[in-house]
Amino acid sequence: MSTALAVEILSALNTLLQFARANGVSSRKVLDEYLAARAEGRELSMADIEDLKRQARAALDRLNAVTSNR
Amino acid sequence: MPRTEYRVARQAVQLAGAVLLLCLLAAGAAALPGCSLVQPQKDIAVLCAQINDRNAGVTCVKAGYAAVRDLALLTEQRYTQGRISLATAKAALRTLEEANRAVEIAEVAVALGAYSDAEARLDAVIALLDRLEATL
Repeated sequence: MSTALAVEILSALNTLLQFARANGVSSRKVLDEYLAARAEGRELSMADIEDLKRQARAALDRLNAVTSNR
Repeated sequence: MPRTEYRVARQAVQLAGAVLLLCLLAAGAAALPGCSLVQPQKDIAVLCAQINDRNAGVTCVKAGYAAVRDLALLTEQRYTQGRISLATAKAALRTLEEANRAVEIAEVAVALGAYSDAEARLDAVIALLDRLEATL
């Protein structure tokens, strides 16, 4: 197996793991908030969504800016 | 890199993806090494496959926006590191915008109490993001 192939494989695996790790942390946090609300008998409001919605929009705008500058 | 080696590399990546998918789907697979990484996503997927109330709906919409954010950040990182081309990054952005719109529609459905509509929209989001992840 050539070095280039090994690098290609490791790079791709790293991408999968990076996303699994990053999104795993996000998912854990969202799930913990759900479980806490359920344990307290509290209803989550639509306003609880706003922060993540804003973060998603900001990340998309940033990606757009980075890819539009080239 | 020669064509054969590309094919082998691609197969290896597909295998890794299949392992992660197995972690997500197979009952009991969470005990396998590495599967703990995707356990929270698996729990979210179970919750979002059957949205029964407002709390589950809000949680699934939040998970949708979090996935869009995380993949946008990963795409930016991969592009600035020179690991994906400008064309791939732009295609990823278009897919992410589409996924984000679907999450927004799911959000409206949850607000209206139309949970089965929200489930369908979120299924579409998952399909889009899975496809995108494989291209990064």
